[in-house]
Amino acid sequence: MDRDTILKKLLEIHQNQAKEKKIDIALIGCDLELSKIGFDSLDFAEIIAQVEEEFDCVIRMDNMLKIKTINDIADFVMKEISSDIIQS
Amino acid sequence: MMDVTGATLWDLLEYSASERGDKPAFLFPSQSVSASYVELRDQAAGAAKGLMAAGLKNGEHVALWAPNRPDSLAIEFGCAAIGTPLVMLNSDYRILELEYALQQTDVAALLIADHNGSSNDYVEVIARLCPELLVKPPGEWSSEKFPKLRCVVGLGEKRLPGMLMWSELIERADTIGESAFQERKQGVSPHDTAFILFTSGTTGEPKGAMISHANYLVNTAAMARELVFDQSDRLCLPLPFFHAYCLCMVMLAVYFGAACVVYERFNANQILQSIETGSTVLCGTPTMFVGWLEALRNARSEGAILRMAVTAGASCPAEMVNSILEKTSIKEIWNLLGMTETLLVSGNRIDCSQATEFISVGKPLIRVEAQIESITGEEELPPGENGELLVRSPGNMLGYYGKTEATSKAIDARGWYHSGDMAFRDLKGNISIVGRIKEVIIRGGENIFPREIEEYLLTHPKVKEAQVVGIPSEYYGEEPVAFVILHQEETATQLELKKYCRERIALFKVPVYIYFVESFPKTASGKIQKFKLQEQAAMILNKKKEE
Repeated sequence: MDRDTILKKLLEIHQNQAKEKKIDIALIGCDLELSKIGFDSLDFAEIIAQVEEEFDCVIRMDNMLKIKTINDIADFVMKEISSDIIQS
Repeated sequence: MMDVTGATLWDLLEYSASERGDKPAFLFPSQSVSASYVELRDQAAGAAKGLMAAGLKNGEHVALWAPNRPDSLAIEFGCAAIGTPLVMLNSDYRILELEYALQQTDVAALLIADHNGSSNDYVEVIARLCPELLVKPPGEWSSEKFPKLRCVVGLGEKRLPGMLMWSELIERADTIGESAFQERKQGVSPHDTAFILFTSGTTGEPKGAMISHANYLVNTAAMARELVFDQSDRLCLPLPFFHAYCLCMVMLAVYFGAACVVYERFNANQILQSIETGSTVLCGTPTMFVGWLEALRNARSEGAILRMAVTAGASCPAEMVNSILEKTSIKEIWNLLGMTETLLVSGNRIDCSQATEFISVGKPLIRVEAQIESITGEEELPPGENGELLVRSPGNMLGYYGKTEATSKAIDARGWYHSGDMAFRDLKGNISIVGRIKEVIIRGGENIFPREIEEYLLTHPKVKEAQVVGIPSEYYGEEPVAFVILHQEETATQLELKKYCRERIALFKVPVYIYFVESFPKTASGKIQKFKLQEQAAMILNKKKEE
């Protein structure tokens, strides 16, 4: 899976979560700091679950502490996916 | 201050309404809702009368399954007024946990929100557990699974044919006269159960701890001698109401006539909003403070009036305390020790940098006794020696509902509650918690009992054996991971089992990693060595970090 596809899917996941929260989805951009969106702990837990299911990888909240934007998540997912390919 | 002797929780609210009438009791910033003490008392009276009109009798259990709401406090005090113990259900529960909790507690009425987040639809869950709600109107159905349940009330907008809505219940409040309400309140004893709070306890399976009015009030008055608020204080409370810690803070705020700033759930940006609403005291678990640190630093430069932090629920790292004191406007931190079964036990006021590894939780509150006993239970240990912490206190619960045996295991014949925490006392009598004897994972303040997850994993047709252990987490303190042995010739993926967990158990309990193994390390006698699994998990994680 290439980075653009991952990014597109991640944007979709975040926009869907924003819709649930009645947050303006136009706010959701790849470089926006996630902490500024107004997601709470449950939103993050649900986003993580969706990302894990979409890309078959594990994201811990410890990782999320270092992740600031959707672009960062895309980098993280790329790294996880490629390390899985190497291991298998 | 109010004399709490012989009082009920309703008396506490009445006192605050009469003494601090127009002062704000709570604010719910995300919905721009607030209420004064008089308004809260009136809302609680409306809730109480509505429940009376729905036929709830003294002693019958009412359960609340909802994230924090503006009407949560009115429901809590309303139930206290009419002697209907309120079963506080974890808002993260999913179908399996809800079914268990309702069956354990003989609930007569269930109050439910529409949903919790996008993947936990409460109304859909109750329809699956109680399909009778789909076909018959209120009052005409009975539940096969929950024989005592006869009333399900929707707090949101969604409804099933068999449900009543909260607004309808409140409308019916007018049918209850003041004298009937007075008579009902007088029938409530301070020693009656006010809340049933779920806990994993020391032995595993979740149990409903019965907490009386007197438990809460005497404990509140004892804490109030140490931790003092005034009527201008506003407590930022992003904690869930189903936690004993949150309810302790609420009672303390009402006792002093301070206001609670309530949030649906934790959000790292709450600090900024909370400062706008004038919060002076920030209450949270250590995990929450880690999430808030950056916002707190920024808030200082914007002239925040936050003066105090209160933390409980998990061990408090010195690094976090030092960061708060050095980099924020907060100059006083209270590190509290409390348990669902004992309420608040002790508190340590910290106002300078800490160099010790274990931050003490202070001396026991007045009328609270604590002792450190050897693991074998044979002797009381002297200062400096590690042993199990025992607590005897007016805050000790009445017992676990419907579980006499578990109660007598937890509270011995001399009245000591066996905490399962490993602790020591210094020469001045300060208690420090150093670990746990009982097998429990504390993830960001939520207790997770490994056996509960193991048993759930075993219900998956491919899983033959499962073991769950905790791994260190910078953010949560600990997180669960599972080791799984599959049945012969079966294959499964981590994702498959994680999805299976997410469908029916709370997200905070879902193991972060699932490792497939062919056997578990065992002792010569065949006992599984969980510490070796923990070491194994740590090794895999370290290797991953290095990559």
